[in-house]
Amino acid sequence: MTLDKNILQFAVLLRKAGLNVSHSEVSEALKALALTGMDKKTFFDTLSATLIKDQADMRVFEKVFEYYFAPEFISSQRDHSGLLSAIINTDSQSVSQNDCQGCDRVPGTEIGRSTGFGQGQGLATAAVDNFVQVIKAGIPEDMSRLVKRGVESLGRLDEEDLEDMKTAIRQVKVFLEWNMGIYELEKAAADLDAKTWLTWQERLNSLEDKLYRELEKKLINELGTKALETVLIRENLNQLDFYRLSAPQVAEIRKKVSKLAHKLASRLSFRYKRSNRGQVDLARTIRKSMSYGGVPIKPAYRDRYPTRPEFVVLCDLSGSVRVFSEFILQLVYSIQSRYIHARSFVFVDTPDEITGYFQNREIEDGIKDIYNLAKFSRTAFSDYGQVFIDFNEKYFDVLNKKTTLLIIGDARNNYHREHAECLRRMCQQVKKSIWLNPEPAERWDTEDSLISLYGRLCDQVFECRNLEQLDRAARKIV
Amino acid sequence: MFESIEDVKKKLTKQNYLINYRAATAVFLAVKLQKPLLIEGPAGVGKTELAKAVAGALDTSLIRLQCYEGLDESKALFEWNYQKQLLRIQSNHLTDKTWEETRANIFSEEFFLARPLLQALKAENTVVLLVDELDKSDEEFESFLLEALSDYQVSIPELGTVKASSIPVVVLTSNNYRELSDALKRRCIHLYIDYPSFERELAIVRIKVPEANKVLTEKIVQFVQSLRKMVLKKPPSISETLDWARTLVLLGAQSINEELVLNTINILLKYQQDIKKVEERISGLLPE
Ligand SMILES: Nc1ncnc2c1ncn2[C@@H]1O[C@H](COP(=O)(O)OP(=O)(O)O)[C@@H](O)[C@H]1O
Ligand SMILES: [Mg+2]
Repeated sequence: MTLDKNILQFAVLLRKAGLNVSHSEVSEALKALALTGMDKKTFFDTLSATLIKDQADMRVFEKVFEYYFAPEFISSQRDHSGLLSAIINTDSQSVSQNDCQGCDRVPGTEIGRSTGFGQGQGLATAAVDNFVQVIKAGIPEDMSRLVKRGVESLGRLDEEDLEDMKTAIRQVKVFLEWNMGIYELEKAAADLDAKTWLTWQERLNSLEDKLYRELEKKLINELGTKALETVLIRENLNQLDFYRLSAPQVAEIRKKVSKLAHKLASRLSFRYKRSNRGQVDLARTIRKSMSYGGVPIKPAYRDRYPTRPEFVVLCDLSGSVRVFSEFILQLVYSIQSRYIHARSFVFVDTPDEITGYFQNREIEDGIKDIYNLAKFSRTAFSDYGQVFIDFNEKYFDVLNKKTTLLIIGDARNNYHREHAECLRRMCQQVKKSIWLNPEPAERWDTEDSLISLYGRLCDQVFECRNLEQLDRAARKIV
Repeated sequence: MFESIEDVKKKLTKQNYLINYRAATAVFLAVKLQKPLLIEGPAGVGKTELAKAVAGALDTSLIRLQCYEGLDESKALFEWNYQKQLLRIQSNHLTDKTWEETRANIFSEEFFLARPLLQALKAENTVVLLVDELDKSDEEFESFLLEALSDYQVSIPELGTVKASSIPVVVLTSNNYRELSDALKRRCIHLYIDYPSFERELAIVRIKVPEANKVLTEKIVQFVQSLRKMVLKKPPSISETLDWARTLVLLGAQSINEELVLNTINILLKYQQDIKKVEERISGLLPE
């Protein structure tokens, strides 16, 4: 296969992972490669400078690069084997597993997976010590070796591991005594300065990242193209389910949300600018002309600023919905000061108002304060019915014919009483009511989900499981 | 012209601009492929300075177009020299010239002021055109610029079409105040400049503030680097590091201690909430 074809294939994979790479950029990349050297670093820099135009995309780019241009991969491509055969051919893992004989192995892992309980009692301290040492020293090679050993403890991987990586990750962590290690580090850090702890934390994060990558690489090596594509599609931020985001993905989506906020804001500001020219208000012109004996000397204009749209936002902060609710709060508050008027409430089993938390503050600080100060949970279990009752009682007067009521949640009510009549009363009081549900539609109304029952009372219900859908819904609403 | 990526590095270093390999690659490609170089990154990391250094390295002039809200295409292209026109009107007044004559006269080439974009296109040899802080301009201006940069020509009613006699090296910078359009980004070679590594920042301070002694310089950079690891509203940038270093030199400091840092911290941090955060854990942040 020629280099050109490889780059084209690489671009296809980038697109699968959610990055917008145009044809013109690919041809630019090819031209650029002809000008620069072919060592891996230059190769990487050349491709990234021509194909990636947004720093937020860099992490995903690095990943696709690492997996696609893996040494095994490139070498196998020279003898014109395609993507598929290349991946199959890199099954050298079994060899390197033998290199690990000298390491402290937990007995029993050769046969089955560790379950996490009572495993390798005698060696536990050795594993913890090793973990702690690696973090304290922070030598990248040692960190890589550690996660590699951890991932190898899983033995052969199958489809199930690809489906549910979190479980596999948990097993590796048990094997490496990860949580015990963190506990030891926290204890040690208590006597040290803040800087050291910050450094360790950084290393822990990077170790976790390495762990995911190592597992993904092993999956790709053992399961082939399909695994590569599955792994990359999972990186596609636009289509990633909100309820299964990793920490770096949450951070990246946050950036995308603020981009969305910018876009919405500039649309709104455009609306204002247009109305700035002012339309003649005929009725008022005539009324004004009365004082001049009916001669319309001065035309009256409509308000220069259309009244800001008013929102009341009600966010479920329980469990897996939480991440999504935080995105919504971020969105609301990035455009609120100038373009919309919003009052916000959070709830688990009772609502509390948090509008003031964001006034002249950073969004992160506001969100932190919600968890520290707001009183939105008595039992820690969702209870929509109770929330609607309390809202009617305490806050009903914030609703009126000018407001749009926005409810964010999965409508999972823990089998509590529904109290639909309270929600109906709220919906009837406002101009418009909209429910955003971050859960995949195929799970609506299963188990304790009451989304259809509640949704019927609202004017609109949107499935909002990923960025793409959030983008669409936001544009419709604002 | 630049011969290679290494050559970029070497020549920029001669301009007292210390660049890493990645950035040098982007500069090299932009110049070679004649594509605009879009530089993004936080304020004060050396975006503007890079454009200046490139101009210096190529031994050509830098033409700078500073963007702001409300900048429109005519302001980027040309203006009539209003003051000169006024003077001419006044002086013609004293002669027996008719108004028609005067008018024809004052709207001629002589009273024409080429603004940066037009200057860059009309320049005889390759210049560096720096469109600084493009994110501060309006979207309409951005799309005008995109058009102008796609075939390096503009049409002006008063002058007709002006085509670049030699294609300028174009550098666009953005602090991400607003998102630039995908269309523009697609046309560019992209470079994100982040805060520098310890080694590079140390080298920059050595070059720019040679008066500071070795120990002081190291401590300064160590401290700034550890501040950047904290979650701050506005972490200090290279420009702040340099300002701080110069101040400490003026104060005659040989090294840094808690008191000195607290007294000068407002040079590094602009927000009260950040300063407070640092004050709270100052002892853990100071290098040994
Ligand atoms: N790589 C570098 N080498 C030398 N000086 C640098 C470098 N990067 C930044 N500086 C210095 O930092 C200061 C800020 O740079 P500037 O270009 O104004 O930042 P920006 O345009 O990104 O806001 C300048 O004084 C510049 O000389
Ligand atoms: Mg600048």
